[in-house]
Amino acid sequence: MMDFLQFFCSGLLNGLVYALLGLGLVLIFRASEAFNFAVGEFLVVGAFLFYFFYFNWGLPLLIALPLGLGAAGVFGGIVERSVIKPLMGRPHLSMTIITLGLSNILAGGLQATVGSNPYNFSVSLPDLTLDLGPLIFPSTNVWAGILSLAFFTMILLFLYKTRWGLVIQATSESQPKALCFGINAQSVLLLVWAIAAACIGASGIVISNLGALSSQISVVGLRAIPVVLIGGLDSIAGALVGGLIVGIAESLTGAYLEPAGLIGFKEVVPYFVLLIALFIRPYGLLGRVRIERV
Amino acid sequence: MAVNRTILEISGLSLRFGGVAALRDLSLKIEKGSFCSIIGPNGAGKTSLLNCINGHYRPNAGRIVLEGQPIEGRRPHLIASLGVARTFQRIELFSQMTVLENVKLGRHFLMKAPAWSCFLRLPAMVREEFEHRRELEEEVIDFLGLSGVRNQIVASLPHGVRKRVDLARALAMRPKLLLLDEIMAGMSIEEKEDVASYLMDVHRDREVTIIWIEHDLAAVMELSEHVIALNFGVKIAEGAPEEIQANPAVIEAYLGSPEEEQLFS
Amino acid sequence: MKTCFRITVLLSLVCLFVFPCPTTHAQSKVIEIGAPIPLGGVGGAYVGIGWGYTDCQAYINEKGGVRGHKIAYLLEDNRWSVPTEIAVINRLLTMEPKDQLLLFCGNLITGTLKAMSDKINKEVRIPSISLSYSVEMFGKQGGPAKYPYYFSVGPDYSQQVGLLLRYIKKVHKKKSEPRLAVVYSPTEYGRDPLADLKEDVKKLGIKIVAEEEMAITASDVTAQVLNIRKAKPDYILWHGFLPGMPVSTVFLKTVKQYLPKVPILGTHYQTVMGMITAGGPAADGLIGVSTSVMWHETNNPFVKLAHEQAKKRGREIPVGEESNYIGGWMLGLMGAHAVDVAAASGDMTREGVKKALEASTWDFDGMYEGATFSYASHKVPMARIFKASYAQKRWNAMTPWLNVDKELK
Repeated sequence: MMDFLQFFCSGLLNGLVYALLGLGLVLIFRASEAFNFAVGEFLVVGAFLFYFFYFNWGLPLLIALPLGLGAAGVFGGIVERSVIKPLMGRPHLSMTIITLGLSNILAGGLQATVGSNPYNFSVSLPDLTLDLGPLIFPSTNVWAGILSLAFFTMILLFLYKTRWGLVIQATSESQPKALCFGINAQSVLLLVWAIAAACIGASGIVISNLGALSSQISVVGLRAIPVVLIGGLDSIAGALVGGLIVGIAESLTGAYLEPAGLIGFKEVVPYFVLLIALFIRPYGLLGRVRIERV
Repeated sequence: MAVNRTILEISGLSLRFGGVAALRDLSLKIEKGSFCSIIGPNGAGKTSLLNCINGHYRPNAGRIVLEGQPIEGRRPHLIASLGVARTFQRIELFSQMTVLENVKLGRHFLMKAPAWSCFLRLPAMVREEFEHRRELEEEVIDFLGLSGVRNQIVASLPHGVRKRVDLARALAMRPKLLLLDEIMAGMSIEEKEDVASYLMDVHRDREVTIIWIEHDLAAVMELSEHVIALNFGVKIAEGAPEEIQANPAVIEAYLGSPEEEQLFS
Repeated sequence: MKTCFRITVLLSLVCLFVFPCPTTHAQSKVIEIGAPIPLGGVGGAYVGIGWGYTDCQAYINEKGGVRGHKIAYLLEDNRWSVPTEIAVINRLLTMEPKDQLLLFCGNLITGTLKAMSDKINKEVRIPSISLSYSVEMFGKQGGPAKYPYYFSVGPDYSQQVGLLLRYIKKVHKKKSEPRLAVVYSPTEYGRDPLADLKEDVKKLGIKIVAEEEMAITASDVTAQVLNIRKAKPDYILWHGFLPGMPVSTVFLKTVKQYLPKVPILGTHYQTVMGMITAGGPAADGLIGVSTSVMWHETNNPFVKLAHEQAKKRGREIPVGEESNYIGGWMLGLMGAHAVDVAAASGDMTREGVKKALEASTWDFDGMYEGATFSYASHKVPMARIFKASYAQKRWNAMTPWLNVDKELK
């Protein structure tokens, strides 16, 4: 029982990180109706921007973190302006496809600039190790959970409690309507991409802190695919639910199924859960059911 | 001066969808502070004209000048920021949001605090939000009698109330020029009377120029000061309501030509 | 028109990358050595190896080459990918003249060796010095009898693990038998020494209490480490990871937090400078067996040479690339030496190089500090155990050079 609790809670902490990652994708999907396949590269870029401020320039964490996330936001904005905006008004699929190309270009660019070797990434944070006898949660994991949850909450408050959040929701629902309201939909999209990039960047920082930073952690970004599909591509609560489900499923699989001989199953299990979730609800657990009128 | 009296001047406006001409070389002038109606049978190009004015359609030819500024082909939100607000035939509200949220969204583009200031809750941003909120509550929501439903989801409201919310949203945009697209369609007599009185108030007290498209000719003739009749994208008559009512071209447009009638009878 | 122009520019750029200018061959015959090395991909970029080759090439050619022949290392990126490396090898074999391309020495990952075994050993018969320590290729199941043209620069993984197990026996203080947790990657090279390891522990009286696989792409290994923790091991043996793989650091950090007192022991690729730079403080105290010298051992004549040459060519070796740079030099010098011996015996062919390698007892101008060995097994039987110090940013030797042929009898 204690074992189960240990694995369950470890999974929960990881799940919060996935949720934050998923949130970035959901925000973009809601606003641009594009699935951002470059999520892995966004993650690496965001983490590297923070790396420069914190490790290279040696700024204190409380300054480096907002600066790094801000820079990640600017990066997201640049991507939106240069890649997504020119495709406005075209089928949404073309935006999704272009993120595939973008992912390759960014991966190559990262390899050319920062190389593919890992960078030591240990943010000095107060020790929060939870050692409860049979249960133990290391400091970095606890911090990962806390930071992800804090960032997730901040984005939620922004979205649901502020005017700009309202505007983002409105624009995400319908750009033509937003235009009628006098809302500059394009600048809102820019804002959404910036926030999403900061979101993904934040999860990149957290993920790097669990290991090392290298352009290869972009593969973690792909973990966001089952996360958002399980929760529903257009649901913010779904990102949280999906993230937690994936985190817990991975952890429990690693604990109980892998030792039984299903080695490597941990990488597959999110997709298994996804399959089951899609059987039950084709639009994701919390996704909005779309009724297509013929 | 004549220039100052004109708020909107349209000249040579043409709009085509493929081979179909929705508007053909249309020219008209709207005087500042006037209550102008545009009538015409279905397919006359009335809604297309509004769509051109507020930027949803890009005309193929012609000019639209708002207070001396050419606005044709500009994007809708830019035109809105110049003081052109509009209600829609099919209501374009965010139906999953509350009445108040919809009205606030209408005001968004007039507010200055940038997005990042919301993260920090800067006092300037809070103050601005508060002032706008108060103004909206008093001058829009209370004015249109929506205070009872301000926190209800739009989708849950009856059609007539939603139309009023749409008007509220347009008023929240502090318009100089208000474009109304069949605001009375589908309303009961009482609702129509309510809306008529709101429109009169808005027109008189706030000095808003109104361009109104309507099928209910009785209401048009009663309320408007100036009527423009369109048919097949061409202006066929213009003048005071009484003149239009007597205009043979207008009658023909609505009833068909006498010859045709004979043909089919 | 504009689009047309853009496409033209783009295409020409692509062409530039895909078809670089043909190299003009010098008058006297240039000896070519095919050298696929990883410059990206799943294991990370090992740029240092390339620098090692380049400097080694310049060093040899400045000395006048090998018996009058200039030497050229044909560096190619293999991206840690078997198909890419096979393509590289096939291309070089087809394009380069038979009497010029005398051998391969480079990364040559296990998968490539496996896939190309018939072609290299039976068809083309070209000696290939690999950085792989695969048991299947170089261990009991393989070896010169089965793969006569494959060579390696160190003991195979089973032998490396054997050295570590004996080291554990030596340092183990407790009365009870040592409890060992084994962690490996589910890859060809990761699972490679497992069978031998299990036999070996029985012989030595070490108990395997946990056996965990960690995918090389994993970003979280909490479950594995928790399983290990439950088993209460005295030592953790990990194998099949590269510092360029994100999982390596994740593993080190996680173990450091859950099991701060348990030493981690690794094979050659876990015992490189990159592991210290990537792992940071979490890599402190790592133990590992390496088949190579360390950059800071400047008393070693081989390292001294590399230092001098790097300095002469204005090459700054960044922290983390030292092991790779030395690896490049090792392979480069070994290849050049074999060609030299072959030329001396008047048989400067692929066959001649093979014979030269087999007969070689060359110790890289004293790299093994006087220890002697035989290369008949197609692998240098020398290895050494090191311990990482994060403060010093280096691996400190814990043992003298060990000859596995003697140690593992």
